Amino acid sequence: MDSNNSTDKTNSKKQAMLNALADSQLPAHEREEILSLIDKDAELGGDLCEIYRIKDLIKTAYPLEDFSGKKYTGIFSKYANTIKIASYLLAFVFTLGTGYYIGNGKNQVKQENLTSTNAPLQKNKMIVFLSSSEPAKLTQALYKAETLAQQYQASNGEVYVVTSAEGIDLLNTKTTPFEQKIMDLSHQYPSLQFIACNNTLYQQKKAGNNIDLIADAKVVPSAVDFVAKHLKKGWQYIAI
Amino acid sequence: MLKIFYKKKLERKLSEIRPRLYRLAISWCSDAMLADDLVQETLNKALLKHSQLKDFDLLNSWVFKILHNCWMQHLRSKKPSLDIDNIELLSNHSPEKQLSEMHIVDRVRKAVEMLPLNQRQVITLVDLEDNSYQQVSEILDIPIGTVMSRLSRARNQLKNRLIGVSIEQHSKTTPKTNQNTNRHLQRLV
Repeated sequence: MDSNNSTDKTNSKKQAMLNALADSQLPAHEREEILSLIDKDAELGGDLCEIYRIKDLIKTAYPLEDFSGKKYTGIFSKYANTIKIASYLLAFVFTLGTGYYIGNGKNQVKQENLTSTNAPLQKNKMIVFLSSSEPAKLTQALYKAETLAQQYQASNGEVYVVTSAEGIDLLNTKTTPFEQKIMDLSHQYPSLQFIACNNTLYQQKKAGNNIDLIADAKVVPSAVDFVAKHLKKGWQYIAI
Repeated sequence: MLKIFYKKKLERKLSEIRPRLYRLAISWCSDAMLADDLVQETLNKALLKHSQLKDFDLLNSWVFKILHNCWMQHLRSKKPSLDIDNIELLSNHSPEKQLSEMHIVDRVRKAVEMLPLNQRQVITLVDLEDNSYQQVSEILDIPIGTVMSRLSRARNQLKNRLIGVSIEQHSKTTPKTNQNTNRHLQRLV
C-alpha cells in the first residue's frame, strides 16, 4: 500500500516536472535531472511529446482575432452588444424605408489569424522546410539553403533548414548522402542552421529506428511550434 | 502633461492586448458576445483604475487579473439557467455532428470547455498567454503548487479526450485559417 503511494507520488512529481519543462519553468538543475530521466525512459519522452501536442492544439484552437476594425466603446461597454443590436435594427428599418442598401462591407467574413500581430517581414530570414526523403528534394533543400545563405551573408541574415517526418533523413548519419556537405555548409555559413524535430525523433524511436543525427544538427521540441513562432516574428518560409 | 502621456500609453497598450484578452475570455466562457462584454468591461476598469498599476511591466498580469475578476463577478451574478440549444444528446449521431467533430478546432474547444473552470483558466493562461506559474498564481490568487496540479490534471484530461487528434487533421479539415500559416502546418506534420 505504502509502496503504491510512493510510486504515485514519484509519478506525479515526474509529470509536474515534465509540464514545467515544457513550459520553461524549471531551474537549471531540475531541468538537467528530468532530461537525464527522459534519456533513460522513452515513455517519459513520449509524455513530453504529448504535452507539446496539447500545447500546440490549444494554440491552434484559439487563434487571435483581428480587432483592427473594432472600436473600443469605452463607458458604454456594458451596453455594447445592446447598442450594436439596436444600431443594426435601426439600419435595417432605415433600409426598408428608403429602399437603399447601406452598409456595404459590414458582412465581410472576419479573417481568422494564427499570428498575433502582422510582424514586419524579415527579408533576410528564411525557413527551408523539408518533410520528404526523396533524394531530389534533399538536394533541392540544400541547394536552396546554400543559395539563400550566400545571398543573406552580407546583410547578417539567417537560414534555418527545418526537417520533420521523412525529411529527418537529411540529418540522419545512417541515411544522408550529404553529411560532409552539411558540415561544410555549417562551417562556411555560421548563420545557416539545421534543425530536427524532436516529435519525429521520438516517433522514429518508438518505431524502433534510432536516429543518429549529424553533429551540426540542432533539436527543437516541436517543428510546428518552431516554425509558427518564427513566422509570427516575420520570417519567411519555403516548403520543399 | 505627464498624466496625459501616461493615459495615452496605457490606452495604446490596452488596445494591443485586446485580442489576447478576447481569446482568453472566449476560452473561459465559450460565448463570443459574453467574451466581448467581458473584454470591454475589463478595459473599462483598467482605464478607471490605472492608478493601481504600480509597474507598467506588470500590465499584462494586472489586466488578466481584472478579466478574471470580471468573469468571477459574472458567474456570481448569473442566475442558474439552462439553454436547451446547448444540451447535447448522447445518442445524436447526425451527419452534422460527425462533420463538426472532424474539425479539430471544435474538438479541442469542446474538450477545453469540458474541463472544470479552475483548470480551464490555468491551462489557457499558461498555454495561450505563456504566463509563468508565478504570474498565474498571482492572477488567480492561488498557490503555485495548485497551479501546477491543476495544469497537470487539465493536460491529462485533454490528452485522453484528444487521442489521435493532431494538427495534421486540422490542416486537412479546416480551410478557414490564415492561408500562409496553414500552408506550413499542412506540410509540417
